[in-house]
Amino acid sequence: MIAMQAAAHTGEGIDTGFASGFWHPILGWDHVVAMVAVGLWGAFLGQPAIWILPVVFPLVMAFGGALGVIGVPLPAVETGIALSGVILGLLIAFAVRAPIWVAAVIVGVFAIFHGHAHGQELPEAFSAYGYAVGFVVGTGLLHLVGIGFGFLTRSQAGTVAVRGAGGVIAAVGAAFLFGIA
Amino acid sequence: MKHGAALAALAGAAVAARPAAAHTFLPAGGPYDRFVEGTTVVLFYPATFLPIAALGILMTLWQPEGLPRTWPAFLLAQVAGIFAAVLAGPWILLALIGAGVAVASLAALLPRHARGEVAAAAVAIGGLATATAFEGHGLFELPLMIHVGVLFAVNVVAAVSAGLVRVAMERVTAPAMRIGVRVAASWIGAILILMLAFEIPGGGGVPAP
Repeated sequence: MIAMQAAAHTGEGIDTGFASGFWHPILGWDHVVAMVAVGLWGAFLGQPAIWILPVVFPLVMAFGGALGVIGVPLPAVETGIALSGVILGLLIAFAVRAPIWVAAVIVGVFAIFHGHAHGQELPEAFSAYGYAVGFVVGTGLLHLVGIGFGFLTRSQAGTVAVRGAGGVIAAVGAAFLFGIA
Repeated sequence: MKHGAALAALAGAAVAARPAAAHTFLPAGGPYDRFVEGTTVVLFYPATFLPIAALGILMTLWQPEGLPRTWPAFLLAQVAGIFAAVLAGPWILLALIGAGVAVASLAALLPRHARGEVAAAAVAIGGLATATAFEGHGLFELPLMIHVGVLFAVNVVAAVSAGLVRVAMERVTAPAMRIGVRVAASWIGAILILMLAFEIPGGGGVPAP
């Protein structure tokens, strides 16, 4: 299993640190599916996970980002990122209601992988501070999108839709994991 | 032309936020120029104003009247920081950012807050903020209006941050608003963690603006 290097993160025409950081998680599908999945799973798990995850995740992800910035090596980062989509997607698809501490550990581990990738891919041409603000805000907004969709679980049809979305997320993660995407 | 030096300072500081090294204050200018320059040292350096903003959030999460109740300690700490600035080196910025991470994390992670916790945060951030602004400068080395500008900016950032949170939580009393404020504190903490990594020696990747 060789996860392909996640490419096309920064996109064309981006010329500021904030924009580069903001679009970095949004233009990388491996990041998008995992961040939305965190919000979806949190909404699916209900209280208190629905708010604990978006509160804790940015801090843990930034810690991973800091490790990437200062050059602390983390093995198999891209594999970890791809796996996050697979595992989080399957947890949603199979409606797994884990204890909050288990959910926090799973999400926390993946947060470090995602953050490390953002930190390592800091573009030298732009403001580092702007990049930091941008990717924290971009990631946070993806979570909120996931939480918003997660509220669909209040209806039976919505629950089916959310679980279906979990399956799609897992498939996308698998595509990255096996180098298809 | 009278305020040209101040406008030049504003424009230069506003181009891009850059790591706050020991600030080189302008050699000349009137009282207003000095005041404006003092404010820019805080307002245009995210590494300085974000910890203060996090403190404002923490104060209001503790109590709606959290800022006025801790303001005396906050002000005294700022004055102490001015006196201590002559002893500060480049490490002072790391200390301020680290304290900001701690304060933002407390605001984000804890459901309730204690008076001692908030007071300690106010003293730490207040003292470190002014010590960072005046890093390496002696007490009578700089014009008075620069000190006034720095103190004004520090307290404005805290007041605006605390005030916005209070207004938001009074307008929207649903529990989701408090959670939203804690998420905002989490984002500030996350940004400061990354800034800390940029400032650590060897934490490369901080480009020139």
